[in-house]
Amino acid sequence: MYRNGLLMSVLVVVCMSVGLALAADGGNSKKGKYLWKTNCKTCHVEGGGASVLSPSSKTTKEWTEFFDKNTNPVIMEKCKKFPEANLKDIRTYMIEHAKDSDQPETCG
Amino acid sequence: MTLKPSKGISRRKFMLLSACAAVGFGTMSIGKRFQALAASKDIIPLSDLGNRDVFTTCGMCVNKCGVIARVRNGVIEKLDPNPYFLKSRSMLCARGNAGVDSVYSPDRLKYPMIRTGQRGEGKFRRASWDEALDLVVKNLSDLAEKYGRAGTVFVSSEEFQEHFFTTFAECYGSPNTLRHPSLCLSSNIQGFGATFGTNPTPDVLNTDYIIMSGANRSEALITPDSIDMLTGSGGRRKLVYLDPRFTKTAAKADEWFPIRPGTDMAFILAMIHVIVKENLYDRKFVEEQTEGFDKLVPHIEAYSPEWAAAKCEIPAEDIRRIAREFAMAAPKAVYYQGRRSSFFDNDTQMRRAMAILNAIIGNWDKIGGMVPNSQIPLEGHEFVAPFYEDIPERLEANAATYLSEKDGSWKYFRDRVLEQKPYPVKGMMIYKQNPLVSVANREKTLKMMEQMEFICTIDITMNDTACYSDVLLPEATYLEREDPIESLGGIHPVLVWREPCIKPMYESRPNLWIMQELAKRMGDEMSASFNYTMQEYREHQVKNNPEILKALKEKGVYYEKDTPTYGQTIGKKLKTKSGKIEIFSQKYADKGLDPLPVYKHPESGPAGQYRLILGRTAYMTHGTTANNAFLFDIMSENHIWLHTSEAMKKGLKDGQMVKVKSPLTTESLRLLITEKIRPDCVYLSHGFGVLSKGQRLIFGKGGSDAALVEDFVEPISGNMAMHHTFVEVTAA
Repeated sequence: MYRNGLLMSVLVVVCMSVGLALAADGGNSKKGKYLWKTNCKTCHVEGGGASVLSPSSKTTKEWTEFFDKNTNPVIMEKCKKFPEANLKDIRTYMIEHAKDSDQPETCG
Repeated sequence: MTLKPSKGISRRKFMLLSACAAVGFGTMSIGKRFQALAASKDIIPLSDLGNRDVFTTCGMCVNKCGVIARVRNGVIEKLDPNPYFLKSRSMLCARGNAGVDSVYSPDRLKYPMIRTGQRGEGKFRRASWDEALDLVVKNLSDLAEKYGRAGTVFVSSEEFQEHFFTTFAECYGSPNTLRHPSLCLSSNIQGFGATFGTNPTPDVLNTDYIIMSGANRSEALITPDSIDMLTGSGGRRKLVYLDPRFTKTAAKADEWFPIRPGTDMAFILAMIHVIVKENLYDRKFVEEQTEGFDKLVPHIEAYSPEWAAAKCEIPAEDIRRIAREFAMAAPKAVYYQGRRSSFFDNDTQMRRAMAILNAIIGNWDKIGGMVPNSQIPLEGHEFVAPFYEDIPERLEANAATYLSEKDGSWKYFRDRVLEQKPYPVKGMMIYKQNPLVSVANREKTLKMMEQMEFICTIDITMNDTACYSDVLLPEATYLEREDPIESLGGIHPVLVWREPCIKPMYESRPNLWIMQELAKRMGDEMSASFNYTMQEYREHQVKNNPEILKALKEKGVYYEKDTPTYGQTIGKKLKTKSGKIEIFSQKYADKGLDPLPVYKHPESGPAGQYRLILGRTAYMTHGTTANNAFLFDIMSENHIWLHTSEAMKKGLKDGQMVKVKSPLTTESLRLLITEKIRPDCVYLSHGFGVLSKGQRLIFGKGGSDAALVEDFVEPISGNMAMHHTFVEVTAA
């Protein structure tokens, strides 16, 4: 089980920041999913206090801009709590599961 | 409501009434049609019968039709269609009616079992649940220690309780879940998804012109299409059908063309050629809603009807005429994409061609056209799977261009297990999938299973895969289970559930219970993801609208409207990169794929051999129903079909045993001599030739297509391509 006291602390509204010139790929998507669920998702649900958000809420382009060009000072402050590598993981997870991502639909 | 036998309306008449509702009741909505039936006193409320009648959902195939189980003295005596269930137009097919045998079959798994003989021998001993569950958990823990958590694959197929199995897999930490789509729709979904951003549903009821190729809807049943195909709106319907066989769908079609297998794309590209060259396309729609039409125009220049006729053996004048008729019927015209696996290794690009043809006539999201699926939302089950730092990617990562991270690809996965690269996979947990029957090249699947150190199967019957397993955990059947609410998307989005008609027989248990017990033994962290009852789970699913539960109790189905919704995506961005319908696929170009579909002619077989083509009957669902006693009465073995002229050349007689030899193996089958197939093909239906003696009705009957068919692959989606095998047929 992954343990990280820092990550278990504050529930981040949006955990991205300005100037985080992360590579387009390279983060760990599975780790990003775990970090998203344990740190972000808890608020980004109905009644959670923040806007309802999931990876498929935005397109690849929108997530990329959201992560790489965000100037919102609140977001910048929240993201200071994360190591850069963890932000990269979350970014990778969100982009890989965006509304227009390459993940195909399934047949149920 | 139910049938009232005393009124003298026969079951057949009621089914006919329902099936032909669109004709008989004109343009009435489905709900109004039911009200009209009730007013006629032909149907009466359930409660009037004074017996236990349970609304539940059929589990005999993927359609999940509404069912009323008639329980008398604790026994399910009969299954009837749910007249409220609009998706199946109140129908229940032969398989649905035969579902009772899934409960009462003497061949079902009754108790937990542990293997005592060699794998495949069928020798097991009865075990307690505790012993069996402890043994599974010990092996899962040992495997994780020895090979890492990716060293166990979790194999499953669609089912209302499959979610609990995949949840367990994710919490265990394996990236290797291997579901059924790479034996099913993955190339179809890929081709349409790359074009529309989704795989839409043809509005069969309301279309005026429908072309089906390789979609035998009168036998490979899909609701409501199989019923709506025969009704249509106002008698203007035309059905054009392409198939190397004269199937029951061919018998119902206005025109049938015995197309050369693997050449559908030639026919489609030639239709596009005619429609573009003759300016029959929807210019306004194409300009506003699509990307890349300008690149399509030069691309289809060479694909004339005359060129296509030489490939697909459909006359050029017919292709030209059909293209014109199709465009004239637009937007109430559909080229029906079907619901099946890949037949050839160009299947994704063939689906792209279908999607583009539909797009240029402007049938997108319109009545009688291709309609994006609607869905009634349910609150999802959120859980946090533990994160393990050392988990590698899926075993077959990057093998296909667009591999589904949860579904995987059977072809590529199995090959890498056998190569033991990039890492070994030595454990197999299986839930409701029977790969020894469903995956091409059975010998390879056997080798894959042989090298496993542990195999556990959760199922209801001693199928082939169960027979080759180490531990068997008996699941309760769909008629004994309380299941989650399921949202069935489509033109008619509905919610359904399952209510237990009787208590689970023997020592069978629902899958949720099995997963909870395994998780409990794995530790607190895993157990936390299963800490709920089914009732709590359902209540959570509908927490935003608890009225849904009431509706499900009263009618067995919930829907918000009984007519389709059109135009929801018009003016909005689609889920493609451009937000529009992508005739030219830049993302394919970026991956080095053809951005527009390029025709590839199928290989010819060796002299004297026949292309083996596969298909369905209306009585069987894949490899799961052949041992059903009622269905066995209808079909007790599969035959190899051979054209009369070829049989005469060989001096073969109808009904005699023949040897069918593929590059993989030889199967013995009974011969059916018929005019209903092209002379260069033979046909074999699925689900027979089993290995397990535990399927006592069908053991020794017929032959196995999975044994004969080679494992070619469609490389963009990773789907198995099933029609590349040629066979010899000789007297036995």
